[in-house]
Amino acid sequence: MKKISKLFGLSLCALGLGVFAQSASADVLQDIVKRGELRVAVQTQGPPVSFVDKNGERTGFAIEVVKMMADDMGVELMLLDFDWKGLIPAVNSGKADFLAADMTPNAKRTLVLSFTEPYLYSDVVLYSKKTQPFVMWQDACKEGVSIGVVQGSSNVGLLQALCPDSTIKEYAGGGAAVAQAVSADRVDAGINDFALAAGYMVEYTEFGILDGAPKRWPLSFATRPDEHHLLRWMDNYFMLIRNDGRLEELADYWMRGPVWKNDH
Amino acid sequence: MDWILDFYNYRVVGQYLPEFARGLGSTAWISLVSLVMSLSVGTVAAMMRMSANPIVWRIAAGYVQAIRSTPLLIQIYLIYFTLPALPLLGRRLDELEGGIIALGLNAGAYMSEIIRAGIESISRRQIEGAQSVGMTYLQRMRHVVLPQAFARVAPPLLGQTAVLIKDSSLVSFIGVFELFGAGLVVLNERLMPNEAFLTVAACYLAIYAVMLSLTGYAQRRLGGTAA
Repeated sequence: MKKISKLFGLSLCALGLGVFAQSASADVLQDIVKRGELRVAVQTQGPPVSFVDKNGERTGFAIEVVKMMADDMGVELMLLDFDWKGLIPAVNSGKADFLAADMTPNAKRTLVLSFTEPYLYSDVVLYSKKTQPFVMWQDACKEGVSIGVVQGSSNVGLLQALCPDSTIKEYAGGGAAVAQAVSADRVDAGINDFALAAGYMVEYTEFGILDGAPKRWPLSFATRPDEHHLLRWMDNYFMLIRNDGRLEELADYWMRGPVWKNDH
Repeated sequence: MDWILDFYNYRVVGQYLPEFARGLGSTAWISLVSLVMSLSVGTVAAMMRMSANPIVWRIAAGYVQAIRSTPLLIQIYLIYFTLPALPLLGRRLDELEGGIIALGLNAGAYMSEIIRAGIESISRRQIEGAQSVGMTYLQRMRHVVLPQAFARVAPPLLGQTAVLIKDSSLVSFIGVFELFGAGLVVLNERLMPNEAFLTVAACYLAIYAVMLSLTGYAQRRLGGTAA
């Protein structure tokens, strides 16, 4: 019993360490200019949003947007690569100024982080092997049909609401793991953002995207809740690059088809 | 208690109790079944490894080396993705079965080396004594050698069990919902890593505490710590 109570004592100490994980600064934009470096937390969720290309360079839609951002700020860009589980602590601890991912804001998430206005809206699609008898995405919403989804993604809740009769299998290990499961016949269909699914169509020629999009998610960057200036700056920046056409240009290249595959 | 809310909001965790309970149950079940499997596989492999027949001990040695030299995640993927329909079952292994078998086989290899050390530590005279009262090989193992061997190597076996319990989170890669998955639900919906993962850590600690007391009990039953 003594050993057990010791164990719990230790775990309480570990809890206590969490207290020191918070830090804050007056205006992070001033810090960025002073240090001459923009620190951005990113995730390697895979092409075309953020990935390492065949030349070994980190690129993708979100990455190119922040590269442009740092250029226009006139500062260097430092990309900090985190796993999805590490993104929020990276921002909250002040290691990164903001996080650039394809994250969808919602009422509960916005309690914790401040999200920018969406920089893009992304369609969610279902895909399967062409040998499956599905045409519309609704065809996969039947009893006896299994659909693979990335564990812990917004699409889990979406799928539960849309296709309550289907068997839903959640895979850790990202969209690539789901595509692998579809390819190995462990699930009948997969669900993901259109841009990612379009990438799988090139890798797995036996796949096809089902007609129709059950949902369109807004995609945003996010920062600490108290960084009002930085948040306004980012919103303003998205407005500017939307108006001068640069955002559309990047979105066309990366997010609306597999054109980027020729260069990366 | 309000100061705790600053870095650990137990109210939010409370809202996810069903998820955590389901995850904890799943992890405990996966760990328990693969633990039983790994101890059985480990004991058989240890006995085979000590056999005088070169074919028998080489099979066991090959199994132990193959498992210890490859990552667990690869073993899980191999069993889940590449194993075809099994003739006895008439279908492919599902996520849970595949995950448990991979975990059991993996831990079994490590357990077998620990158990072998335990068996080898039993004095030769005890075996000779058992032989002289006419016990067969299996009787000697069952009544004389194995109980003492297990009592002696209980601490390293417990250590290996702790590894097994934590490794069980890898089955989430083939779509099994377990404790870590419950943490991910909280992280995903609330973006609260402390609430998500400190709770997961506490649950793992609770499983370990139960294992710790069970081991102490088993050790006393089998032969005492001084054996």
